[in-house]
Amino acid sequence: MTRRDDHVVEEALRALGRRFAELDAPPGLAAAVRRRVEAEQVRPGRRLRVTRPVALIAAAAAIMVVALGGVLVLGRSVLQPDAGYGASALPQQRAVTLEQARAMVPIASRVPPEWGPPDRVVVGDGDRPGVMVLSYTVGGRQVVLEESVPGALQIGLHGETRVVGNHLATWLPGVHEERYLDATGAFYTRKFQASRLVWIADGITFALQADVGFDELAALARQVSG
Amino acid sequence: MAGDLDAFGMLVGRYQAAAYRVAVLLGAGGDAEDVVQDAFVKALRGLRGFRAGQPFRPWLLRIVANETRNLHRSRRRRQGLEQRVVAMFPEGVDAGAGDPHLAVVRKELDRRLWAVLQGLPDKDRLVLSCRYLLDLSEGETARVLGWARGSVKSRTSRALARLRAVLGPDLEEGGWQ
Repeated sequence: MTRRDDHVVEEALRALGRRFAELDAPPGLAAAVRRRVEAEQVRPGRRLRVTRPVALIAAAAAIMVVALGGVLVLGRSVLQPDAGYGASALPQQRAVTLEQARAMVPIASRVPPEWGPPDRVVVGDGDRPGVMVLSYTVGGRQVVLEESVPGALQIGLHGETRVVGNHLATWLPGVHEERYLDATGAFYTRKFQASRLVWIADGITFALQADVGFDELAALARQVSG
Repeated sequence: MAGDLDAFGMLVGRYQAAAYRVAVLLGAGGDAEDVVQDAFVKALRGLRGFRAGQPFRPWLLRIVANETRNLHRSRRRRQGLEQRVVAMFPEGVDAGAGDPHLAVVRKELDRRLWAVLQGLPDKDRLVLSCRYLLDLSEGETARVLGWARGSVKSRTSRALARLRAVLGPDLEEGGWQ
C-alpha cells in the first residue's frame, strides 16, 4: 500500500463522518433525562449526591477553571472587548441580517412585532453560532434582546430568581459579568453595564438588557414570551 | 433543587447532539437514545468526581462510550452475537456536490465503507470512528476511549492497515478517489 492509499482511506472515512454531522439527538431527550433524574430523587434510599447545590457549584467551578485555560489556549481574552451596547462582544462577533441570524442559530427565534425591525443583529461563536443579539430602540431607549441555544449562557447558579409572566427568570441587576459556553466546550465571560433579565422559554434562553429597573424590564420580557 | 436541575439541563441541551452522535457512531444503533440518557444520568451522579483541569466534553463522551460498550457486552450475553447498526446509516446528506449521479455513487460507497467498518474488530472500529468519523484528536480519542495516547496512535495505524486490506480491490478501482 502507498501513502496515497493512506490518504484515500482517511479521506473516505472523514467523508463518511460528514454524513453523520447533521445527526441530532431525538426530540425530548433532555426532558427524558430530567424525568429520570427527578424520579431517582424521590425513590426511597436513593440520593443523587450532586444535586446538592455545593456539589454542583463545585463542578461548575471545575468546569470554569478548565474553560479559562481553554480560552487562553485559544488566544481569547477572558473578557471580550466592548460590543458597543454596554456589553462585551461575543467571540468572533459579526453583524448579519435577522434572516441570516435565524438561519445560523439553531433556535426558533422570536421577536415582538411591536418593536419593529432591529437596529442591529450580531452573532458570535465562529461557524457554529449559538447566540444572536438583537438591538432595538423601544420608547426611545436601547433594548438588547439576546437569544441563545440552551446551555450557551450559564445562568444556573447566580442572580435573583423572579417570576416574570409565565416563567421563572433570573434578575441580574447593574454592572455584572456572565459566563458562556461555546460550541467547542470552551467558556468565555462577558461584562454587562446594565441590568439583564434571563429566562428560558420554548427551548430558547432569552436575555433582555436595558438601563431600566426590574419592573420595566419584566414588562418588556412579557412582550417577548408572555 | 429545580435550579440545579436547570443548570444541569443546560449542559444536557448543549451536549446531547454530540453525545448522541458518539453513541450512534460507536455502535449503539437503535439504542443510542437510551445510551445517551443513561450516560447523562451517570454524569450527573458522577459530577463530584469531575476534576478541575479536565475538559467536560471528553469526560461526558467517555461515559457515553463506556455505556455503548456495556450495551455491546450485554447484547453478546443476551444474543450470542453482535448486533451491528447498518440501519442507522443517514440517508439525507448529499455528498455529491450537486451532481445527483455522483451523490448516488458516493452514498453507495459510504454505505459499503460503513458496513466494512462495522465488521472490523471492536478496538479498530472504535479508534477509527473517533479519529475520523467524529474527527477527534489523538488526545481526545485517548480520553474518550480511556486508552493511552500511544495506544491510540498505534491502534489507528493498525486499524487503517486492516481497513485498507479489506478495501483493497475497491481502492485499486478508484472508487473512493
